[in-house]
Amino acid sequence: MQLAHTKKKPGVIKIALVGNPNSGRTTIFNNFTGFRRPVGNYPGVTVKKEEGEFIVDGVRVKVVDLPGTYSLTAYSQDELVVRRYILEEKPDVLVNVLNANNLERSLYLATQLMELDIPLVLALNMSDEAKTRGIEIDLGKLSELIGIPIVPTVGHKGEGMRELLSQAIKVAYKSREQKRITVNYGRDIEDELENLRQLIQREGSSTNTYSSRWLVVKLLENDQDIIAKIRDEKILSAAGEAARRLENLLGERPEIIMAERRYGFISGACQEAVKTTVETRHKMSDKVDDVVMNDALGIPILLLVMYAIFYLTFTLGEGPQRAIEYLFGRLAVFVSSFWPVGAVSPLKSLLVEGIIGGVGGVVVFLPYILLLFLGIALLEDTGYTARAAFIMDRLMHKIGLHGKSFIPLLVGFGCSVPAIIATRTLESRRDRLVTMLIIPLMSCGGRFPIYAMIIPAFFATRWQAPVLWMIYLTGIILAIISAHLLGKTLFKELSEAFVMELPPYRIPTAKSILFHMWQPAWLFLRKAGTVIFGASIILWVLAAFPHKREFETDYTTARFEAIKSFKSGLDTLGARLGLSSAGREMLGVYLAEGRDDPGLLNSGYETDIDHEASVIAEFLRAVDELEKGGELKATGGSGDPAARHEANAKAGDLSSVASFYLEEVKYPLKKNLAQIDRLRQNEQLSYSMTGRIGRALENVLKPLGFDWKISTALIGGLAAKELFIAQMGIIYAVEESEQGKHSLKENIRSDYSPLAAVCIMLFLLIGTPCVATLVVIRKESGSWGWAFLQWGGLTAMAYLVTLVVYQLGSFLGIGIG
Amino acid sequence: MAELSSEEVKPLSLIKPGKNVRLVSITGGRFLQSRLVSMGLLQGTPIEVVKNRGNGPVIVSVKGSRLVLGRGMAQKILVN
Repeated sequence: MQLAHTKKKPGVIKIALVGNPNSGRTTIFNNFTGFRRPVGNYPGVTVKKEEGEFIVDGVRVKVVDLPGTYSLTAYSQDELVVRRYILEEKPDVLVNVLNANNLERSLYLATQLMELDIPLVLALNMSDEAKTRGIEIDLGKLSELIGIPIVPTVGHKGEGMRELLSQAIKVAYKSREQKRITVNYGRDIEDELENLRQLIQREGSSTNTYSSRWLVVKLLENDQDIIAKIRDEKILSAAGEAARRLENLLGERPEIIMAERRYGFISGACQEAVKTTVETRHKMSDKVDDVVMNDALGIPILLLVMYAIFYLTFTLGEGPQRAIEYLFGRLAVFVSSFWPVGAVSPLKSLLVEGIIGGVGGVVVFLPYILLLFLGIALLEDTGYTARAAFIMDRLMHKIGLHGKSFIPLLVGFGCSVPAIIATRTLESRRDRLVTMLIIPLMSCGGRFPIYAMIIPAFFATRWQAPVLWMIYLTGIILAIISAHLLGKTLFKELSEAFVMELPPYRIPTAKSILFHMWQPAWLFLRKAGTVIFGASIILWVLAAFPHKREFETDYTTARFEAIKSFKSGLDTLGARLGLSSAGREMLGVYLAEGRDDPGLLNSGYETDIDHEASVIAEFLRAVDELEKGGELKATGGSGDPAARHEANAKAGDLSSVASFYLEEVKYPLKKNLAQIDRLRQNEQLSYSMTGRIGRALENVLKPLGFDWKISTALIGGLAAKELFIAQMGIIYAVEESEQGKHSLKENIRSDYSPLAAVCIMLFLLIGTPCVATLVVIRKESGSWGWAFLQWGGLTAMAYLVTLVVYQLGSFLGIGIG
Repeated sequence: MAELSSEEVKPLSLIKPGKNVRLVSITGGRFLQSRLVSMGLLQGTPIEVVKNRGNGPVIVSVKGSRLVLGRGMAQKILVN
């Protein structure tokens, strides 16, 4: 059995899914592949490719989900991607997913697909909805009239999938025999098409890749993409002349007539095969829309919805966020445990502080990101997004954008990376670029820890939420101004083509919401895993080298001293427990190694020490209890009151010894060692590349109210905003999660004025977009030029704004206390 | 060819909600035309205006589905 289009081995069938947006194509794709597929990129083109492979009835099948399009012209990026995929990758069969509820429009794409030489199958999706709407379709007749097999499906219920697949496979194998019906464009046009076809056959050049029918149709339609590909002057001029002749004859450009004929064909077929029994409109949807898109209510409702989403994101996300923080903390401890306690090693530092610290700092935000995207996915799947675009359109027009830019900007509040990718729905390149450029001004999730750290440090509780809100608002206002400016300078004409389908409201399936939530979240994670991972390493290198050999303070001695005092504390402890020297040694071994797990105690010594071992074990248990925050209970409940009393006394004793240990011996050691570590780090940092750069920048950033510490930390923020705090922690040699005295918050409070704090937040809000953003802009815009322009522009803006705020504030004496 | 009928030809943007009209022609470049055509809007197509506030986008019902058209677009679509 030969496969139609492939010279590759039979047994792998490539199926491409095409169809209008909102036709349920992706749902069908998910049904086929069960959500197992990587997200990749087409080489050279910036639209995502979804692929999945699996085996069905012994046949290996590869399914590709192509972007949704209404047509195959050369006017939009999506269309070009679809047609290029079809022409270059040559799938074995095309499955065109149609929305049964707007069959006539949906078939428009099919009429064009029919002209390609690739086997075609139609999936009549959402057929359940159509039935309830009273649309009755005679599939057999319709199929006969248009010459293509049709399979009814209900994607979101998973119905018809098997049949669709087997039909597709069948068609792939039988293609040569498939009767080809194509739209008849009328005698005049058909004559010209035939002339052109013969000409091409004579010329024979690079046209073999294309089906001849499709090729001549496109030539006559003046398709720019095809014209660019066919270099043959003879053919091109013949086509041009044919078009002119037809225009004179018919009074209209050929492509218009051809479009009409396509619809005529469709209409003819549908008249025979489709009966609408009840004239139902989008009744329910309409009612909702009356409220939602109401002049007066529209925007307030939208604001309410957005507020609800953000609120839920921040409140529900907190718990999981702490959990992840905890996990990464454990991971750091675990990795550290491979080195003896207190060891200083570059590798350990790289792994723990560099990678776990860096990547962990970002991944910790996954809950927020997921929740935000969940909210947005909910809006999308119910169909509200289209309404939002409609409502916002007027306002967005005033700044030179379309309502469609609204959703990407909203996504930007989670993370810029998926937001920039979301701009793919904008058809005009100009709109896309402007939107992409201002997305970083939507304060992203990465900046949030900065605000969470700084705001409570400087502002009383009742001011905290308003200040946060103002920061976000500033970002939005600056975005508006920027869009306006960009519109006036670099991107003059606003594209006119705002057409969008308004799907009826729909109750989304859990599957599709999860899928839509997971997609952008995955991009965020991937960014963390790649860009931030790499950046963390680089940052670590910058902070670790040059390596300081001789320190101001002798840390080794300091550490030694700390351990010495620990040891003497242990001695006291041993005495209080009544241990012999051998017993104390055993105790020391367990405690000094940081292993206070009573279970590790192994008896099997001589009797004397055996008794001491049990004392030690009890002691360790007591310590364990106290550390867990519990109170000591007497072990063993014998009925004898005297024995119990003795047991209680013993427990009380033990408890006081245990707390002595913890408070006077263990914690101080830990604290001291940690402090020594950090002070050493601090010195190392000043000495390193990072520290030097930071100091070099100090003069530049002084007018903004920043000192070298801030400028050093900003370097961390270059990689990812999330890393700014981590760097600050290192600089201040304080662990940021520590509460109470000497926490990072306290340190910042004492070092900077509220004005400077606000300036820090402003600068980070506006400027130096993270590396990941830079990379994605380059990918989506196609050039580094835009990426650097954005970076430079935003940073310059940040500098300017912060400068003005700081200088003005200082001058007026606001917030410098 | 556009038929000359006794009714006036107006831009879609001026049609009140609830009215049913027919598309006569589209004044605009190829991109615009092609875009609209692929969404089902071509000469002779019946259009029902669902929402039209007088400014901002216009919502219409065409071939069984709802479309939102930007104001600029709606001004370029001539109907009667």
